[in-house]
Amino acid sequence: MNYTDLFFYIVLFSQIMFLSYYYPKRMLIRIHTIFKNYPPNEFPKLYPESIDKYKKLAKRYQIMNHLIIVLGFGLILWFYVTPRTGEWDQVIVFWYFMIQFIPNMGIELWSRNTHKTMRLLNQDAQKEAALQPRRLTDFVSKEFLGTVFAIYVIFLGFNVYINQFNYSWYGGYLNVLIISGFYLFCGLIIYKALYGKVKNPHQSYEDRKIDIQTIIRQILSIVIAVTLYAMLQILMKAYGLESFKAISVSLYFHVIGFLSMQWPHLAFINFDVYKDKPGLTK
Amino acid sequence: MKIKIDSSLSSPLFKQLMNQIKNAVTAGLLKPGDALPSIRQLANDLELNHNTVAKAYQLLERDSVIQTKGYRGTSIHENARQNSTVNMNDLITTKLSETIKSLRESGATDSEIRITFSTVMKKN
Repeated sequence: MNYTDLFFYIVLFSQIMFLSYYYPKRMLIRIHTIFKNYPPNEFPKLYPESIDKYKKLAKRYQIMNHLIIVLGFGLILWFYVTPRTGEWDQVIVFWYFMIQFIPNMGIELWSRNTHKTMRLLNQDAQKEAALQPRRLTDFVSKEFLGTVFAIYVIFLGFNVYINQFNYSWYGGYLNVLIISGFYLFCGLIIYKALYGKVKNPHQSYEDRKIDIQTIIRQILSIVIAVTLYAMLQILMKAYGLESFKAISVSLYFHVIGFLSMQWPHLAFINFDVYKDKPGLTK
Repeated sequence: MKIKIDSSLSSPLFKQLMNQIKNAVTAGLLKPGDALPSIRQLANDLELNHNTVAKAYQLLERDSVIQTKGYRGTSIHENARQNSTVNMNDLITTKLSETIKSLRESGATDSEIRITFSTVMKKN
């Protein structure tokens, strides 16, 4: 075993533990803190369905992550006993990350369904809104936006530079098309966060602004990470560093995981909106 | 500044929006040039149909309380404060009362006035 392989096993182990142990642990602590500090008898609007259902979903989330950890250890063992293949190693690590992502997609769906049920059950005839327009620059600095734009321009320039070498493996301006499409997709997500329909009918406007800011900053950070990573991948191929590709993709997923963990602190969220207010029903 | 609507009230929602914006202008909470949210943003925030907010904005623009300048969005009109005190319903009632009184004095029956009014409304 050489040092590259050893480093790869360490990084992959770290990916398994960070994304399937530490991240879910933080998520579950957050969920159980909410169950404990904001129980259904005092905050009925927070639980449009029985709390037992939510506890079962949390348990299922925990079990899924444990199974994925076991799968990850099996993967390390498989990598140990089979010869390294550079490109394919990277593909396997990528698909393992997709599997790691599944329980978190489940949490996202759980959240959407909960909000949908809240909207259906909401009988509050009064609605409130701020009379100020929301602008992107209200939530992120112009410098941050400028950085995103600059990195995109650098990426375009980088592709023009690489194109002159006529590498047989280089996808040409298809890379530009894919990354541009990704920027557009992320732009739509940001637009929806800024101007889309209210998901949680009880959430205070101040908390909604914090959510919007969190989403926008996460998306823009991911956009930067994706663009830089795309350039790194091309460079590694050009310099014959395929053996490091699997390591780089695993480290990249660490970054994505870290960016996804930027949740607002529970102490700063207004949970009073989930208390029952007598006399407000239609 | 926040705006509140109540769907349990008898007053139409677009009217509630209009009145609150006019009241805010009169109270000095909204000043000439202050930007207003887009129709989409306000409709989604208040969970209203876009047409409801669009109607409110359309009537406020007619009354020169707000103005829309293309991509620059919607803002409070420079003469919004004095225009907010004009009540269109009162104006319509006054003008129609004068016209009906004059027509009756000319000998027209209520039925003739009503039928002709409908015909003219449809033509215009």
